[in-house]
Amino acid sequence: MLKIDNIKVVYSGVVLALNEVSMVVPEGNIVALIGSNGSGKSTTLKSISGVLATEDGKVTEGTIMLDGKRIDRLVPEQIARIGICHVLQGRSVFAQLTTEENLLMGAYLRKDRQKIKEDLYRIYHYFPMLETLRQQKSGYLSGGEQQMLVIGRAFMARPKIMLLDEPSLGLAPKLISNIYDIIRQLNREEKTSLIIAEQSAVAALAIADYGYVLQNGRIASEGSSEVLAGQQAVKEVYLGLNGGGTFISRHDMPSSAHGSSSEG
Amino acid sequence: MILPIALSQTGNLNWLSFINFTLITIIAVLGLNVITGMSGQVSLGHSAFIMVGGYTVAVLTTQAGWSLWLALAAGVLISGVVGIAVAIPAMRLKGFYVAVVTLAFFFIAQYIIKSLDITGGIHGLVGVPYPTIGGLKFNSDVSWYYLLFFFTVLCILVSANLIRSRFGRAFLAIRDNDITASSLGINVPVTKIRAFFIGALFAGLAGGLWTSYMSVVRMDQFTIWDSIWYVGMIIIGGVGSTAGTVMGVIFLLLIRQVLHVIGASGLVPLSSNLSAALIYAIYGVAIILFISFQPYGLIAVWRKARANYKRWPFGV
Repeated sequence: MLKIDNIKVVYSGVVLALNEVSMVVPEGNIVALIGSNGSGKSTTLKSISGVLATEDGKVTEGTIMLDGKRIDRLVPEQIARIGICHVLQGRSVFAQLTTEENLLMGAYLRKDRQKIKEDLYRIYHYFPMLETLRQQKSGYLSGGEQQMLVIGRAFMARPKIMLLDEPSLGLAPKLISNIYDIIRQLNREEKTSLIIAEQSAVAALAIADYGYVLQNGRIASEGSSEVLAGQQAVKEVYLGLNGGGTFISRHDMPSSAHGSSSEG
Repeated sequence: MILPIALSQTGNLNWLSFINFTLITIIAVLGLNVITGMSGQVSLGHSAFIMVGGYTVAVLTTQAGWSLWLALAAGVLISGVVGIAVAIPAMRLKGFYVAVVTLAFFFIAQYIIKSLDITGGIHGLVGVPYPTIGGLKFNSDVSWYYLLFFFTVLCILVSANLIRSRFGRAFLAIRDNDITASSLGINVPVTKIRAFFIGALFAGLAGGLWTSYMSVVRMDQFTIWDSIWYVGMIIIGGVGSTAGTVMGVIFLLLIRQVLHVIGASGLVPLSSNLSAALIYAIYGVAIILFISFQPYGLIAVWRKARANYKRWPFGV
């Protein structure tokens, strides 16, 4: 179980990116992290995986614990070693490596060759498209294929928790639902916990067990995904829906929509 | 394999020593390809790694009386250790700054070797022995050709297999995306140190062999210009590719040699000064042309040619 307790994240010593953020990710759960641009979704994931330091960011207050062990002072490769795999935003494939080599890089820390091979075929089972492209340089794959590849690569690490940063970014709706179906399947069959940061809340809330809404670096709302999807504020801001069918700008929101919390 | 015999029959030993020099350079630049090509750490200090290998062999054989093979092994290892020492300050840096650190390392290494007595100062050392295997002594260009050919093939195999291993893929991973690499559990600083270590091993081997082949070692064998030539060879050959590196070395050295021959033959009225300047001009133009029109290097030209040959008559 991953537990984030009241963290504060500061970039370059001055820019406050997160404040008083607390989250819990129980084993085997999918947690959605939704919010608009700059709300702190990526920063939250980066502070968990430790890559925050590469951008001169720091968790200055609070703690992040994985199974009772404090991890917020560790470097990224140590965090990867204890079972957290971060899939960065923007499909960061190793462009010069082939699809299969990319997948094998996911298993970098593993020594069990036989199991790695089995997992490779398991990935090809989940993402049949990747098998047909296994000898292709990954830099030449399409956006959707690259997104599948980085998710598959993260799975090859057999993490306890996988952090996905905007898997839907720039993809066609059909492809998004396809990828989300597979993510759900991976979660059910392989018991991998996931945190999914998403701007398009519909897709993420559809498969998540629980959700957090971030706004300006704070948790504005949280709840089970059904409750959250039904919440008026979330509907208006992140799903772009409202009862009357007219567009509502974020700035026109009633102040009561902020900071409301339906359950703890 | 029969090339050296043919050349020695015609009495054209100039070309044979050129080929031997090319083989040594291939070994050295394969090392730079690990550091710069595969791992993306631009190193301008590669000459200095070669220098460390060369001087270690020369000092151990002429001053300490070691056998050449033992000294060569020591030279390779010491060069590798120096590689680690350079990587430690360089590992926290990226791109341009790594280049500056390695540049500084070159001048520091040069200064130290120049100031020591044991290395013969600016005069260098003479009388480095030739290698022997059993009763066979490598004292001719032809025999050296076979020896160097063996080492070059060995290094090519090591380099080509490196890139297919988990170990070598980590180099490409930190070059392509170091943050992603670290979140997959790759220790980025340690991987950079490994790259410098392995690259310096190749350079040490090349330096040791070169010293023995020339039987002397001198400061001016290892210049900063060579370091820059090596980087150019990688760019022209195809960054990160073993075959490309070999092609890049041969291509640039061949241009240099052909200009030398033309200059020396007197066919074209070129003074030796002018032809020397011309080499640098052509080198510069070649790099600019490659970066603008063929950034993936000679290896990409070769792959395209091969693909077109297979597809004939449906080429592009």
